[in-house]
Amino acid sequence: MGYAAKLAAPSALNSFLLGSMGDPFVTYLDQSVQAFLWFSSTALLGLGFLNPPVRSLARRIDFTLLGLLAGWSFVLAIFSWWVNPGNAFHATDPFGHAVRFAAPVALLLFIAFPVREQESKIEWVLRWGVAGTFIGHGLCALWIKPSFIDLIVGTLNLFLGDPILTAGSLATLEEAFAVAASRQAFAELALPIIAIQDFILVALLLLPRKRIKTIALWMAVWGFVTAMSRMTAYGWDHWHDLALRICNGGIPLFLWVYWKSQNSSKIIK
Amino acid sequence: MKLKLLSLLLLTSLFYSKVFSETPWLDKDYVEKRMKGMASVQGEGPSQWRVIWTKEPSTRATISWTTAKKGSSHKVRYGVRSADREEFSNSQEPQHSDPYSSAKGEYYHHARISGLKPSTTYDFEIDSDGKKSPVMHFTTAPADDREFRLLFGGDSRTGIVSRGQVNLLMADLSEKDDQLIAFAHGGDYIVSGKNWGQWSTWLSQHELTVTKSGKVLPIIPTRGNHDGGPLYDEIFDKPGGKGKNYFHTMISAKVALVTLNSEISAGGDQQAWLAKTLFDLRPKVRWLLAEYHRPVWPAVKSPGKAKKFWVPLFEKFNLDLVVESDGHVIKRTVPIRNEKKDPTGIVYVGEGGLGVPQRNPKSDRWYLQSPGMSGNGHHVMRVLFGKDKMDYEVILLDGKQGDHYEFNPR
Repeated sequence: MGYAAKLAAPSALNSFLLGSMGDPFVTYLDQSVQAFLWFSSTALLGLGFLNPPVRSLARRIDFTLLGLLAGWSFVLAIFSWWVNPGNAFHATDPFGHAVRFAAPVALLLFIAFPVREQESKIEWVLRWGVAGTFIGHGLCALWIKPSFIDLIVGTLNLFLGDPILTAGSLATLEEAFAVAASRQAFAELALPIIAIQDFILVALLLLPRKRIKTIALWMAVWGFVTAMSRMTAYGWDHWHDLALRICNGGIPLFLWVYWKSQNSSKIIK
Repeated sequence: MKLKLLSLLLLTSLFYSKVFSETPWLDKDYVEKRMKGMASVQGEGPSQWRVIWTKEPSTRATISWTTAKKGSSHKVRYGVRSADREEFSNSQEPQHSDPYSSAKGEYYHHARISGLKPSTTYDFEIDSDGKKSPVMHFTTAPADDREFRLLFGGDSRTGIVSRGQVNLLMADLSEKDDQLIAFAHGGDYIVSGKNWGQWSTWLSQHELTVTKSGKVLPIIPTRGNHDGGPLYDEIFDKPGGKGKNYFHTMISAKVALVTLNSEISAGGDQQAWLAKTLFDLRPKVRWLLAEYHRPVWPAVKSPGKAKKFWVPLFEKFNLDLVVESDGHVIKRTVPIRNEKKDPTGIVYVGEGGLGVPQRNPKSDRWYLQSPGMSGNGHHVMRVLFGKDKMDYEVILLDGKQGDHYEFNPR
């Protein structure tokens, strides 16, 4: 749904093809994909609820839709990097978006191989997806991505008030500059620390034969907080940015719930 | 029958010869021929010349150029324009020369010239190791309240021939108009900001904006999302400071242009600087403009992230015009205040047509309805800053007017 809403603006694939294919084609492509994404996100909810029998037509549709969704999010991540050559932040997108295509791939595997022996493999697909996302975001935080500064400053402004916009006189404006500067300095200081946290979480998540539930829970909380910051910093009309990143917290939450239900801290092979 | 066909053929060829004689850049063969005639970056001579304006263009300018090698002796000779072109009263060696990042040994040279007289035409000649550029000239910005024009435009990153066409259009507009003094580029010069080859092509093609008489339009640069990396600062002499690239330009006593950087944090330091700058400038100037790359009221894309930080300030300090790029369309919004159409609001124009393939705007967006507009086509925007009105127009590749609007002082 997040991807569908985001297609109100041209996609990275659109930008890549614009020069060679022209606007009518790329606009039609985006509109078609948007219609498909709205349809498939609704259909997948329905199919999930109905849980159609194996080898039925509905199950095959379910399978196909998941594959196409995973493919779309993967292609977008690649093109986001490709159409911005030399941009280090965009180069992290294939990692940063990993959980978005790992989640439908995991579901797809679950549908294709609904046997308990495959659960460990599916779990590792999800673990690597979450790890990729935290590595991608961690690298952006380490390199102090400007929009991450805005996420922190904008969120602080929401909860503590925007000193610049509320200043009425030169004197209050001077005070506001100091506050604004301190918030930017705080963000620039916090981001490398957040990056280190992300990398440590990834290392602990990927420990072989270990399931550290606290780590999964912390990643879930952090994933939701950072996804939510798109709305707290930029406004509620950025709901699609939250929807797009719901897996950043949702998949670690799923892992935590799953591990909790297994009643074991170790993988049994 | 044969006579009719012959007449038709004759009329058609007359029509095309008339069109191409006035707008030869519409003929792509002509553009390609002109591009072949550009100064190559070879040997020790100067090439890729440009004049850069940032903060005080009435008394300062940076004359920059490229040499294929480091060389040993570089200078700009310049003087107030006179009948005797061989006489240059001043000279300036570049204060900053270094190799371009990731280039094959090419060097940039920035000669920062100060102490110029306002509203004065200067001839200049670049000399690198005894090899000279043609004599060119530019006019400094006024320090008084006289009328003048600026060109605005963005997005020249792809469509190499189209970029050449728009450059030749700008040269034509510049040659015919003594009041036209500079060109503000809204960013996305090339596809990859770290690719010297692409920048080198852009720089060489920029030579096409120089008129036959040698008139150079100084460039006021803005960083776009495709212009990441160190080359932007190396090419434009760190406009607004390395890592910032935001500054304001007092173009006359009554006109100020605030250039913002939508590719770094919009909140925090930049927002604070913007507030202070607008607070200082608003009481002093009649026409207060801002320019940046990513649109906050886009005709195609989603609003830029700077919207929340900058728009309340634009509205608080009643900007007269905001220039955006990035969308590859032509647009002029209705006056906007508090997310609504409001006659006291801010008009946003753009969004990039210096060569990039054009998109179809989403003309159903509320802020593009009449009296706003949207469309597409390669174009530049020309603004006349007068005492009683600010005259805005879009000039299409064929020289025709694509849009026109008059603003009254607030």
